[in-house]
This record gives sequence, structure tokens and C-alpha cells, in this order.
Amino acid sequence: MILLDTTPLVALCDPRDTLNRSALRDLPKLARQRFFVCAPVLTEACFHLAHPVQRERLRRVLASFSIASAAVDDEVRLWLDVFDWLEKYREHDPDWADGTLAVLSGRERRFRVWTYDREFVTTWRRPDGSRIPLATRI
Amino acid sequence: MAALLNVRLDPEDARRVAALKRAGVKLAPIVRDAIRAEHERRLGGKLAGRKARAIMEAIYAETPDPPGLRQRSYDVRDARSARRAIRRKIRATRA
Repeated sequence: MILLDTTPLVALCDPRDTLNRSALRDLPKLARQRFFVCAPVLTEACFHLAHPVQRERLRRVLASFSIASAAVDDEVRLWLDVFDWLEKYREHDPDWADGTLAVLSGRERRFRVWTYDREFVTTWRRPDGSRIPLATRI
Repeated sequence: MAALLNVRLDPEDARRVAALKRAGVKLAPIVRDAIRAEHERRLGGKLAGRKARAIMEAIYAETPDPPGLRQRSYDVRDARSARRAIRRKIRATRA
């Protein structure tokens, strides 16, 4: 179960992105598994992919790879957990999407996060302090 | 017409097969499942990989960048730069 971060999504949908080659290299290896995405990551991706053509690519990527929503039933509880996580890491100035991925990784232990953000290796941890399993080497 | 698969068995496996048959176990579904599992294990990843590459090539071919599309001026991994870009966009929208 692969939980997508913003960096690979943007890289796939923008051939000029500096990480496009990395994402295209990693995608075939990961494509056998089920992909999941959360709303904060989609929000970030839509900001970075501002042109309608780029967003159309994003829509097609979501549809073609049957990317599922990582939504949870108790969303308010998730938000509160994310706020707690943000407070814990406040000196590192994390984003809402970072916190959401970390908390979701703690709730669904089978998730492996696909990201090119090194803070998932160096800094971010699950709420219980354990490492966040990653889908690729960064 | 369905293909038929003949498999040579040594005496030990032949005894096992006979015991399974006596127990009422049908062997054909077991063999089919084993073939499918091995096919998926050995070739499934390659097929999924090829399909993924083909999907992305099709997406790029069908949605080319329009002429003059400006390249992003910041690295998406750089949260500070991304935040500055968001603030610029908000200011531009309000102005």
C-alpha cells in the first residue's frame, strides 16, 4: 500500500520537474501495489500544478492508476492528531500535508510513503516515534 | 479447446497425488492456481511496469505543455520556497 506525497505526484505530472525522471523510474516498480492519496497532498499538488494541462495530467494519473482516497471515517480525530503532530515538530516548521502523512502512516501500518522529501528520513516520525516506512530510497 | 498439461511424477509425488484424490481433492484447480501465482511472481511486476510506462507516455503525448508555459521557479521539496510562492499567489489574487 503506497501513500503518495506531493513530490512524486507533481513530478509525474510535470515532465520538466527536476524529479520527473526519478518518479518515472520508480513508478513501474511501485505500480503493482495499491496507491492512496490524501486531500492535503492533492491540494498541494494542485497549487504546484497550476496550469489546466498539468491538472488534467494529474486527473489522468489518479484515474489511470486507480489511486484511492486515504480518507478516514473519523476525520476530525485525524485533524486533531495532525495538530498534535505539528506541535511536536514545530521547531522544524512542518506542513499540514507532512503531518497528515505521518499520522496516516501511524494509523495504517501497511502504508509506505512515496516521497522525495528527505525530512521523512531525517526528521518526521509517526506519532508513536517510529520511523515512517518509505516506498523508495531517497 | 483447452490445453492439456502432462506432468511426470516421481513415486513419492505419485503417492501424494493418489492420497489427495482419495481425499476427494480436485487437482486441476490446484495446478491452475500454482501456474497463475508463479506467472504473477515472475512476470507480473514486469507487465505492471511496462503498463505504467505506457500509461505515462500516453498521458504526456495527449496533454502536451502549451507553448510558453513558464517553468516553476522553486523546488517543490523546498517548503519555504513553496510557501513564498503561495503568499505571492495570494497577494496577486487579492490585488
